[in-house]
Amino acid sequence: MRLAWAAVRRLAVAALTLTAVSALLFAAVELLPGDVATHILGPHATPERVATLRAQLDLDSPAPLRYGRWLAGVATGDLGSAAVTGRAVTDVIGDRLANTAVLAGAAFVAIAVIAIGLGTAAGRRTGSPADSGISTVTLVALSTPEFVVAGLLVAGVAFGLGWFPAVSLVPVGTTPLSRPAILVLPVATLTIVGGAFATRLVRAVVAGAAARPHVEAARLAGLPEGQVLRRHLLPTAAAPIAQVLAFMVPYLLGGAVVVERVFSYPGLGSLLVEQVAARDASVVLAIGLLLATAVTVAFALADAVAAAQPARTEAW
Amino acid sequence: MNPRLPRAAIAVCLALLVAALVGPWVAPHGPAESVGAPYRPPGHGSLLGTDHLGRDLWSKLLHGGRSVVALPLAATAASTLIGAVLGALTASRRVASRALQRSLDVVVVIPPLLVLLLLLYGVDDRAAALVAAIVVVSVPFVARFTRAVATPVLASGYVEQAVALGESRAVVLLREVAPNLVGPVLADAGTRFVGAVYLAAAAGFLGFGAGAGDWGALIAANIEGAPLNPWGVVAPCLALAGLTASANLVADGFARRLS
Repeated sequence: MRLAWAAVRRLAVAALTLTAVSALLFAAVELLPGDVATHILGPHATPERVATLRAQLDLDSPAPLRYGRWLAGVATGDLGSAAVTGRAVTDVIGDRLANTAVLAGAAFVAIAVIAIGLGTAAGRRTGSPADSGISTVTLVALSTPEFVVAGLLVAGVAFGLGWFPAVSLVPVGTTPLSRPAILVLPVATLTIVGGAFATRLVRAVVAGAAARPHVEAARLAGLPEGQVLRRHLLPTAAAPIAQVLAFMVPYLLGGAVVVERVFSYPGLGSLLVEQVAARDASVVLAIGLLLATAVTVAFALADAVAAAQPARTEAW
Repeated sequence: MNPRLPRAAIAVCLALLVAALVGPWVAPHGPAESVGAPYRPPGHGSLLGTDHLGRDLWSKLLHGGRSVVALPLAATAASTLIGAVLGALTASRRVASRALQRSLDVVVVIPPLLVLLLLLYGVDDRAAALVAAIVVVSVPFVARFTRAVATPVLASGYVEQAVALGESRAVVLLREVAPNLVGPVLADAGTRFVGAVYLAAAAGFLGFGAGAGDWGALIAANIEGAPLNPWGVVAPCLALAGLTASANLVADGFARRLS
């Protein structure tokens, strides 16, 4: 019962947060100089044509009213239509979202494997040479901006060695999965930076678990290291590690913005940059809200994992 | 961690900061001056070759650092000051603390790059907009960090004693609490600076930068010519990575020394 109440509260807070985010985004797009009508018609358009187009696009109603209409639309799953092309926003975003999901999904799997492997290797004995090495290397890697990692990969691996393509174009009507080679460098970029970040978080979790009395007792009892890890250490660390991985979802969606630009990959991030430049409020708002929702859901999941973890009593 | 590493990191970090700030004064060629064919490899009097418009890359590198260093430095100073004051104030008040948490919840779910794009596009004064965007993104994190550090200090005996002696809130915060916050907040500022450099360079890379031809913009402009002159990409990449990595190592070493 208490758990259900907590879940309802969490949902209500999430809904309120997202509403506030949507209002902020709407205000930001609204307050910025230049509008989509002048952008479509170009700098030499007559004022009359601009006025007509503004009326067509309903840019003349007061902003709060347009925000209210837009919010009501969102509640019913209607995100409006793109000003420039007139296509439904859900259609415009759909393909790009699928491409970003492929990229982020592949990177997520790679990050999970690397973070759990390296994080455990570093955290199970703090202060060991493995720990120092992994901690320093990951700190350097996570400090490096994605487009810097990507730039070095393009210069070295794509052009220098010629192993993988430097641009990751996806022809219309195909999916990135039909040419997996184009995914390698973008996924590697996200994995290096995100994996370094996740490794450090997992290391901290594992180091905390390794210091617990039952793990120490298992080691003192002379159990082989593999068994200590499998039976005693990792079960204690499982829930916090799941939390760490949940936090990687927003990173991957946000970080994809820059990485997609480097490789000209047609995902959500490159669409966002294009549409901010084109001043298309409906698409920018939809992408912004989508990213914010993904972050909120990931945080809520991380909280849920923590809450579902039964309070462990010291086992000895 | 290797104890000698922070010292090396401090040296690299300082060298890059100084090079970025004085670079424009010592560059052999102007930022717009063409010296030869585009994408020429190193040699013929140019240390790193030429960029996509035939300009001396070494000079471009020296010119392109100032905006990705100076603006983040200013933004980090501003957000640390604002965030630390907010955090210290909210640490002592429950209602304010909850309000801070809620506003933080709103900011953290908006991707920083989206804030950056929205604030930078179509603005005339990009330098000011960039600083504003970095401050908006970082203040909530500084405030939350400061609150977390200040809360146990506020509960400690000597602060209670000062309050019991009838000292005013402002005096207690300034005289008893603030000195304990300076170290951790400075270590946190190092991490914030790295994030600020990231945003400034990312803005440049995406074509919204504050300084024409900053390190981020250089990477974007020269990536197509990497087969002809890889230094156009590699040199600004190394400069940026060297700066962010060394700054983070220094901040990390500093934080370890405190704990």
